[in-house]
Amino acid sequence: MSSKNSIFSSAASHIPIKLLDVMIIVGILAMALLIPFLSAKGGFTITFDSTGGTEVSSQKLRYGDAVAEPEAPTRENYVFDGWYYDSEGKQKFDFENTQAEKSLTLFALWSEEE
Amino acid sequence: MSFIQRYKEMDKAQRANYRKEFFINNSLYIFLIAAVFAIQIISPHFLSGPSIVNIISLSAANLPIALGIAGAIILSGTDLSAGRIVGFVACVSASLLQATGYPNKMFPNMPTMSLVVVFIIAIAIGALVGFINGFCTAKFHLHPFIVTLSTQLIVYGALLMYLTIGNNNGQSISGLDPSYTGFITGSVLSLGNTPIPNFVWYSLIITAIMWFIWNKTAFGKNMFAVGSNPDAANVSGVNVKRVITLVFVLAGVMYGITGFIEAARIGSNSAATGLNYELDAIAASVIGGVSFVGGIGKIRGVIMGVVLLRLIFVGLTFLSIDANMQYIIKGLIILVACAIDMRKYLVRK
Repeated sequence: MSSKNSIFSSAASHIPIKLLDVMIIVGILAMALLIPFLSAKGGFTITFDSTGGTEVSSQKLRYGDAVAEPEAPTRENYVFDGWYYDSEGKQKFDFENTQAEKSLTLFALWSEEE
Repeated sequence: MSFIQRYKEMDKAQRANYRKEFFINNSLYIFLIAAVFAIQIISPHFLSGPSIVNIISLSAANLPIALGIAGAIILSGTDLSAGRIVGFVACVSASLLQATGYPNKMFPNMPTMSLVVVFIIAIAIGALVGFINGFCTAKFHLHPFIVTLSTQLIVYGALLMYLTIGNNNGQSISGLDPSYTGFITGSVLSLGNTPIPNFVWYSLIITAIMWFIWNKTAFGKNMFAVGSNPDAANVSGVNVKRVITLVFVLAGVMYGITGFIEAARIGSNSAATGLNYELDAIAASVIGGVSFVGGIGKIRGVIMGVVLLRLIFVGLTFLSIDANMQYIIKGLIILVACAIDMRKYLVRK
């Protein structure tokens, strides 16, 4: 394990404490400025992957917004089955009761036309 | 003499100096708590009942891994394999506890396994990788950074291979047995209308056990001794190699517990499970006062670090800051926490 004679601790004793003070204050100021900036510029992107159907544009939302159900995509010889969290269709996305909480990709599920 | 007496006896200059030191040393906490208040004002649902339960749950899920890694940091080292171990154990546990009759079951002919047996397997895997980490660090005097970086990659490779066996073709493992998910994410107590998942209580029990190990056992005392000065510890009769190995084994056990809980908590496990978990754990430990120079750390510090970190990141989500952008803030927090840690070390010298 690192003994107290490691290169890091011997170099460390030459670092003036004032430099660390500056680093700490700069770091905190950077966060104080960055957080509002990222928040203003921010938002979650809901991408719609129509897995072979017509393209559906993605939505950029803030936290807590409802996701607007887009117009159903079309695909030749297939019937649109809804939007799901995963490409295997295990969990359907509920537009009514879900609010945007993070960036997501939703997958379209299709069933063959009779 | 008590702090109040000491403060009264200080002259003006000393008091000003004391205030300045206090302010700088706690600047990160002050900033983070101020940020929490600001976010609550902007987004009043941030500290609502369901949100608080969510924050407590996320903190409880991250606590065991942070406690494990804190041990490695106290030894003046680190453990980069933590996240991948959690992921590997999670996938193994999930694969052994899928519901019978689930169409994509990985081992279709396996009978329902007992939770206890799988838990023991989870801990054993964690302990084994921990043993490799500790042994290589102690015996060959390799820096834990290099050792755990290697085991991180090896465990990840093993995970990728594991996901291809049985009936699984690298897909994610889900469809877990209800007894497993009920045990971990079911609930016996609620806060208002929001149920508190069971793993919060398990996490608290594990934390209490770790507190006992750190503070009331000879092993705990030896861990701190080796961390602050391995040569002095060696001279006073401590088996330094054994302590180092055991600290990493204990950390591995904690990662195994985290993986066992995580598999049921997130429900769907893949090769990506556990990715970068160690970053949050290390950040939480450093924020909580576990020093990188070794030999210093408190359980309550780790708890505070984990909760504060979770509070901030849930808060940033409420501000619509994407998970990808949150990395920048996370990095800055770690940087400031380490600068404060180094400053405390230099002032002591």
